[in-house]
Amino acid sequence: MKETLKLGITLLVITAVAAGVLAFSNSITEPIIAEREKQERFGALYNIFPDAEEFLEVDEAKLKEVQSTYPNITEIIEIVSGGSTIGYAFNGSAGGYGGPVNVLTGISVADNTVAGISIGSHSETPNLGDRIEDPSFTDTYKGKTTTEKLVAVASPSADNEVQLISGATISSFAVLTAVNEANEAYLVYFTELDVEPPVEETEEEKEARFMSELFADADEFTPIDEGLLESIIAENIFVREIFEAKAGGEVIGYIFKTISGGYGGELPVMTGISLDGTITGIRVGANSETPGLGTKIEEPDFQDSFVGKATEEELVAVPSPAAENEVQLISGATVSTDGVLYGVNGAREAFLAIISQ
Amino acid sequence: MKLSEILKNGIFDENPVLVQLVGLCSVLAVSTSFINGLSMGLAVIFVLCCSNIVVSLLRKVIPDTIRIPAFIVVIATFVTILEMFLNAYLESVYKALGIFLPLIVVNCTILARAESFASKNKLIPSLVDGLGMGLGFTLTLSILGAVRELLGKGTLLSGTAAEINVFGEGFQAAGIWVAPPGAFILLGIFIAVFNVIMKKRKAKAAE
Repeated sequence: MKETLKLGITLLVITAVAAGVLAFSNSITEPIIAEREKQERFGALYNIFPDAEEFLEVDEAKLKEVQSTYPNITEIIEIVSGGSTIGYAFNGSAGGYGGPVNVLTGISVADNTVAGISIGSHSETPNLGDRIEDPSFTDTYKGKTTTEKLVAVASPSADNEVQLISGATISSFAVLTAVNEANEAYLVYFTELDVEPPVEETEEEKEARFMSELFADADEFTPIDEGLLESIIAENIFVREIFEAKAGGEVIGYIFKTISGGYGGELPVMTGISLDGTITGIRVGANSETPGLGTKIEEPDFQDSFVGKATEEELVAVPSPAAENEVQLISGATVSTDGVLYGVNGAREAFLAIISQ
Repeated sequence: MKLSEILKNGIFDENPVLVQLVGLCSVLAVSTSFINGLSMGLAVIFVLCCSNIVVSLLRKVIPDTIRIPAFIVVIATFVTILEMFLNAYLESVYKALGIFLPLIVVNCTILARAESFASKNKLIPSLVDGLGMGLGFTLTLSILGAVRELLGKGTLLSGTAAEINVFGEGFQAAGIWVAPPGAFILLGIFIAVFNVIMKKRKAKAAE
């Protein structure tokens, strides 16, 4: 008993001395570490706003309001110099290749331009995706407009163009998305400019818009006879739904909803074919193609190359389409192009099947 | 044992990495460059010397039954102090060593020296023993780091002002040498070469 007590007390004394020594060294180092962390935190802001004198966190209520529309924004800091606000900085993030990419976007209020950006923590691929940290990339955002949506291109020059890193498309787009979101949040909540946050279109609304875009003259879209649809689906693996486009009660064409396979998964395509057998257009629905590459299939340049093509022959994709059955091939996004082509060719065959009946 | 022998013992005859094979976890992880290896080595020298000093001074006070927890407290205290000061004054080293800095607490080299040497010897020999073992650890780690860096990145002294790109800009380095498997392979080669040298020296001494 006495022995145990002695052991316990010995250990107690040793640990107490250790704790005392640690408390002492902590009291020396703690303020230095805290100061450095503050420097690190605001260091990025100093680089963006060299004239800054004070950094004020925007109050909680305002932040909550912004977050209700832009949930990815975690922090907003007001930058003050000479007693007046010279800018705002938004800490936000967007999904990259290896996880969220944190981006600090500084906006100067004098001319509503991006004052600079700084990349925070991320898990992008070393030597590839992490090139988003290079000044040669981040500097391309400096001085760009906030009033227009920024776009990423290989060699940026215009006021709304920023760098796209080849080989690191997804990482580049993560940064772009975060900056665009910050810009929009800034315009909506921190300027007198009359900017409304964009209203998200529901899937149904999008579909209805696509349909009326494919047949501008039509006033009604109705699903075709179920028996007919079933007989077509039985022989066509791509077609899911078919609609008749009617103008004044007369059928003027058909809309085919197909699902084919792209690079990132299922690829829904809507194809409009008028009664005389020409394609009125195509629309690509929600997909998971590579941002900035595969998603070019959503752009008018590509979709419009289908307009006016005939349906007798199978369509093929070529770099510079000319003939009746040639459409645009997107270089670098062959698989996505082919995916769309499968769907459209499926629609084409379904159309021929309907006509023959 | 003479002091010079104690020192030599730590660097060569009982080199903690190449002969005793202790503390390999941090050896393999941190030796990706010369400067990382050197920083880790210096950190270990500091902790090893301090803990050897304190353990040697307290060797008559600490009862045998609770010596291990007592040693661990001593070691952990010095590691934590080191961690705080590195974080405050040498942040780049603190970041480079990362989790392996607090893990010095469980580096077998240090506890082994406290247990097998410092708790049985006087202050000065214990200090010299800590220095010798620490130098053995540091030398091995630095050389391993330098070789890995040279093969895996094509540089020498990267992370310092004197960084040299040995093979020129276009050199495609073999990344395996800075990855964990490369560390295992190189460490194996190191041990083999070290054993050959030591054997030859012993044979010569016997003649």
